[in-house]
Amino acid sequence: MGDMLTSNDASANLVTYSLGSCVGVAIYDPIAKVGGLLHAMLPDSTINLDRASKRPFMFVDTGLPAMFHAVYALGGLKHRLIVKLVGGAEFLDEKKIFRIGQRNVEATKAMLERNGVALAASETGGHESRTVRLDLSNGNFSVDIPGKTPFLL
Amino acid sequence: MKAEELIAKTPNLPVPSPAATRLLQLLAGDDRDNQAIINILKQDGVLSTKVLALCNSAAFELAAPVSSISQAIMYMGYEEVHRLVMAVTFGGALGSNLAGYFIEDGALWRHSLLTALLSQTVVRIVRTSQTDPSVAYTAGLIHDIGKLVVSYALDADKQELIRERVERGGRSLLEAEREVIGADHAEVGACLLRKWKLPEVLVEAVANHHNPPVEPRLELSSIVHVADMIAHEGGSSPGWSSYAVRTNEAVVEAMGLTTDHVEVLIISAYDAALQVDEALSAPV
Ligand SMILES: [Fe+2]
Ligand SMILES: [Fe+2]
Repeated sequence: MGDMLTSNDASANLVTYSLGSCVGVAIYDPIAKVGGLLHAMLPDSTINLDRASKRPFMFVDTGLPAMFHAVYALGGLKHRLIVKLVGGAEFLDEKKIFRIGQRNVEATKAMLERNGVALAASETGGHESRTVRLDLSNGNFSVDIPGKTPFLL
Repeated sequence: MKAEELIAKTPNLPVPSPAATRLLQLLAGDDRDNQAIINILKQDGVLSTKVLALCNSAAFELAAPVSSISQAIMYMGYEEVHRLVMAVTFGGALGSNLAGYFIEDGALWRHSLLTALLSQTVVRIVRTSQTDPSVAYTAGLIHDIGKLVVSYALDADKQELIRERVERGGRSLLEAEREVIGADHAEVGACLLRKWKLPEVLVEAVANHHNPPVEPRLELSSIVHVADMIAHEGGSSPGWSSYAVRTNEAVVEAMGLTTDHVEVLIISAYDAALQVDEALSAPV
């Protein structure tokens, strides 16, 4: 949570637990077999810039670029990256006071689009908290929801 | 009443010891002096031993070990002693695996600790708040205690009925609980606390933690309501369909909370979660 993992070890699995309104973004280069997994909690770092400089991965706008650069540093190439997005659950609310999930998803999609990065797959919204796992040997990205059978996205 | 019936069928509920009950009752009164607390603790061997063990643990860095409860309270302070008593009383049961909700071992206890800390944070943010921090902590800690009973009542068939109502009927988890077993976990939790003769202020907070009334506004239930929602968004949302809950947005607005407050609270939740995880992994 509020964190990011990368690896260039093809036998590794990157896992993040219980994404509720948070978003999980996985990126994977199938040739270099390197990848990253971000678990961001909030869309916009302007709410606390000091925090963003210490913990950039808490926020979508600072966490996404930091993850891409970390994966480039491991040999990942932008045009080869497969990008997937999970999370952004919402309460059953009418108004927007707690609507963090949807804003996390929108911020992620907007930033990827501005940077010319296509989204290969996504599974967002809903009322579930999801655990995700990126297998760096083959890029399989699995989603695990309590009480359901895990599936590949 | 349905809630009582469900409670009667549930094994292994964490009934507070007489001493723990009296400490909880002290929360509602003004006579919370150290001598009263010492007298109560001395009558409970298990609690006394644990208080002394914690006080003599590395956490308090004492030069010489203490051997009496009165010394321990002097060093630890009331709040720390109270938290320990709550953990001893409720930690085991709330940390168990709740199959009816697909909640894994330890996950509801972590959610409870996080909601307890965040209830105190919300008290600080709502500037008009009159709520005592230990009362807020306690209410946050036991808000979901009714889930122990509801989980036990939810066999595979009933889980399926709940799932159908939530996933295809647009119901909240609470509404589905009422429709399928005749009571929800908030109501059942309140009923449990009343059975245990805990103060009415805690009963009310647990009863209303998913839908605190707008008028008259009940401060403690509103605080726990917000803390619970923030705990979910801040990374502790155990069980399936855990976001199928409704915020009472009118109450949140009446408390003067905006989306900016929510974001600031989510950052607090991150810090509180680190604190909780550190405490949970510390050797006892
Ligand atoms: Fe609840
Ligand atoms: Fe809760």
